Amino acid sequence: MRALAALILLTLGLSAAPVRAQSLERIFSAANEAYFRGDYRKAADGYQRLVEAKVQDPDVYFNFGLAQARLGAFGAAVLSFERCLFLRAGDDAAEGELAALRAMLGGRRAEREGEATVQARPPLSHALVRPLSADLLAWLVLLSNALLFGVLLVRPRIGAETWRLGLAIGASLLALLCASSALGLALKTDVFQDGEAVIVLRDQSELREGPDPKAQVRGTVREGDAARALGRQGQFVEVRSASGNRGWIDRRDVGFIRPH
Amino acid sequence: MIRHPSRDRLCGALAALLCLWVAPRALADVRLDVRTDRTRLSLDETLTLQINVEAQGMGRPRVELPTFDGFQVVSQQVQQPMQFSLNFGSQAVVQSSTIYILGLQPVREGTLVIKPVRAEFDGQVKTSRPIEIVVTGSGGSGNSPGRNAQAPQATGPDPRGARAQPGRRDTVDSAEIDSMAFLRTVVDKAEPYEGEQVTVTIYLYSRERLQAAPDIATEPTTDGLWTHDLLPPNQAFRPDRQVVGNSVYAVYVLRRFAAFPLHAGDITVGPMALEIDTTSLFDMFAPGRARPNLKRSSAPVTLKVKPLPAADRPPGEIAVGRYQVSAKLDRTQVVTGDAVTLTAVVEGQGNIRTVQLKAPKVPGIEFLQPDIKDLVEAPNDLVSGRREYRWLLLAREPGRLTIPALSIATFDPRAERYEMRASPPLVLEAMGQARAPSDARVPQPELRDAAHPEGLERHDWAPIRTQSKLIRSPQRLVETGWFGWALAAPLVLWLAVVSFAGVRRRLSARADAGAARALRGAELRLRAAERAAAAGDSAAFYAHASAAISGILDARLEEPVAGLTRPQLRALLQARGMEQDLIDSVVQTLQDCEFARFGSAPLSSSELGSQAQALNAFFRRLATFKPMQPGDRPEAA
Repeated sequence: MRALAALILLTLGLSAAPVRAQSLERIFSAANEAYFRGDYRKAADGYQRLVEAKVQDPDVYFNFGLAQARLGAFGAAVLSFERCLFLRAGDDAAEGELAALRAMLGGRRAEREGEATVQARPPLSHALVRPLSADLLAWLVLLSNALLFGVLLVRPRIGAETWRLGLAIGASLLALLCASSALGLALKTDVFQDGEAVIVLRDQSELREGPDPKAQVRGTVREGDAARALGRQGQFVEVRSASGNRGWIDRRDVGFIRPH
Repeated sequence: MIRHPSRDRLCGALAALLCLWVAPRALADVRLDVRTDRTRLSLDETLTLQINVEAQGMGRPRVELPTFDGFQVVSQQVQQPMQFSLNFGSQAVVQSSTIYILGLQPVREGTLVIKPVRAEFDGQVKTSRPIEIVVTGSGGSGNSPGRNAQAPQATGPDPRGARAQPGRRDTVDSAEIDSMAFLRTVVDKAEPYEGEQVTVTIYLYSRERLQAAPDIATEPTTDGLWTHDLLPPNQAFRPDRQVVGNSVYAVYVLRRFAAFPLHAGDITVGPMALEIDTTSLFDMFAPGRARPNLKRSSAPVTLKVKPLPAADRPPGEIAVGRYQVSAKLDRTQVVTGDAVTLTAVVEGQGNIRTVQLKAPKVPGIEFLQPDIKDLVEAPNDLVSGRREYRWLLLAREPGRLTIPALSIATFDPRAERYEMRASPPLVLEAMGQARAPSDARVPQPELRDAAHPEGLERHDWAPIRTQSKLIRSPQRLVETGWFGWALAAPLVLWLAVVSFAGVRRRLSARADAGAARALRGAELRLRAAERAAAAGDSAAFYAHASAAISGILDARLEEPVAGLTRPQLRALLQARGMEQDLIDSVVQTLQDCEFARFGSAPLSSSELGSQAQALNAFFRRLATFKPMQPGDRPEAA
């Protein structure tokens, strides 16, 4: 009897996983259908449900970003596309939509304030590694590292000078490849930067002196701006904007690029 | 040219006289101010009429008083103060004032009119406006001006009497009389409705004409009131004149604003505090005279705000005032999916900024967020204005679409009744097929593009992705636990191999160093044997020769052979791979050296020399011997 009960429970447990997967697919399909019908609000809600169900898929974020952009929520759309690129570097379509969003945001600001930076050029180092995924760089580091030390081990045992010379050149190249891959991986994983990358979701969000809604406002940040989250306290997050402004912002006004 | 001095002098005198006569005329000015202390009274009460005529220039103005139909003049007072102004660098200016103070008692009930007063001065004529006075039956008007116990005692007319509006409710008047200076706050309504305009005026009464505006220490608080300033921004600081008691005061208007109560109940206009600079030009003639600045503050005034009547009150927000609503479309025919602009205007008297107009819900029409523009004015101190709404509409479906009337509920505080104000309904004809939602539903940023063609570009959004692996909780390779180990493993392995090889080399070098040391020792012994042979010392020669052979064997075999017996030595040499004849030679040579050392007769130098050469050759032969490794040899017996 006990064995039968255990067998039933096991069967239910095994069947739960595929049922859940089917539910996620159903939600994804329903959200896509809503998007095709033009019901962008419903589509966005569907994608949001997937995110809340711990789905961290670049395609889901891509669709989510499109739905949010259609709804005019440009800041949230920027965040979704950045997450898509975080999960899948080098996604040209996502890069294109992100560039278009930033241009639209810049155009809004230009209309409102007379001038705006439409697109700020990223540092060359970040531009070089942006199309490469972190996993690719990690594999390059591992392989080049292993090959380099393998060559260093073998070379002293080779008698022929030609081979020794060839192995020496090979070791140099491998060392260069390993070092550059490691540097790219460090840039990709923000080793040289403190805090986490975030995107501002609400335009003219207040930066306050302290983590308190009554604290004095130091400045504002704009929708779609990138910033670094340096710490959290209660409902507030301490951020540093790209322009160097530092302050505390309501947690609901920023989104972390790295899905948590 | 012939000049006539006398004629020149006559022309100059005439010119001077002409200037003296023209200049005052150019500077001549007359001001007329007529006011009453009240506009409603009963038959048994008296009102005070004050007529101020100020003239600037030579002479006195001529004042024509009207006939006071319906009134009996019970008292009359005339004051004529004059003032001279000396402006350094220009000529003297004379200011004269004539103040008439009349006590009038009505003789009948009804609405009586005080006819205009006419003042003429140097060709200028000024006429006042007629003043309506409402006279009720005897027994008290019941509408005497609201005064507190410290209000000016009857002889101070309301400074706004000349502009009093008929049918206005009682004013609130608050002041603390002072012989030098005091502040007076006047509110034109004591009990307004919530949202109804009241006009608040703060006057400064001063016995002396002030040289400059006083320093305001505290502005009056207006909590619970929405205010709109009525004074022009660059108003000149010029006083009126008014008699209070038996004293003439210069009256300055410090503040005048419209206030709209935001809620029912008691709302207080707080006191204003200021400091008056009392220094004057004449202080230079009395340097010891010290007069401190005067500090004054006004009394607070409390309004009793009434809630809007509950009877017949329409639901929703109520706009207090008198408004009209109009609306129009920029076009009445549109292609389905295109946008049209609906402009609605609410204008009238009242606090226009609180007016809310909501877009109706119309099937087939989508209303986007409106642009709102306000224009606020205050002609005759009555706040009015215009609020314009501009909606962008999208016709989603073809057909004849009716936009219903846009309406607001208003409350007229004068008539004390509610009214609905609405625009007429509008008709929009949408033609053509309904577009697909993705086409018709234009995102707002792109709609703003249509309004601002120099702004954003239209963007064709990429299609969504219909396939997804729905990955959950992905982990980057660099974040896995084994990545660090995998990265460090080759380095660790390489370090281990390099270290091991290094240790081996050191050990080998140490072994080589021992063997080299032994070889050096053996060679030293050989040299010693050669020296002994040269010296003819047989015993020393054979001793060194034996030691040299033992030393070279030690160096080659890397183990000591001195303590071994001959059979042991023979066995060791065999085990290490030495040839048999060489073994025999070694053993025999060692025996011969021992024998010769201890037993044989000494040899000559030449014999020792040949022995030394043979020893040297033997030594070299042993030095080239390469023994087998100890591990390869069987155990020595």
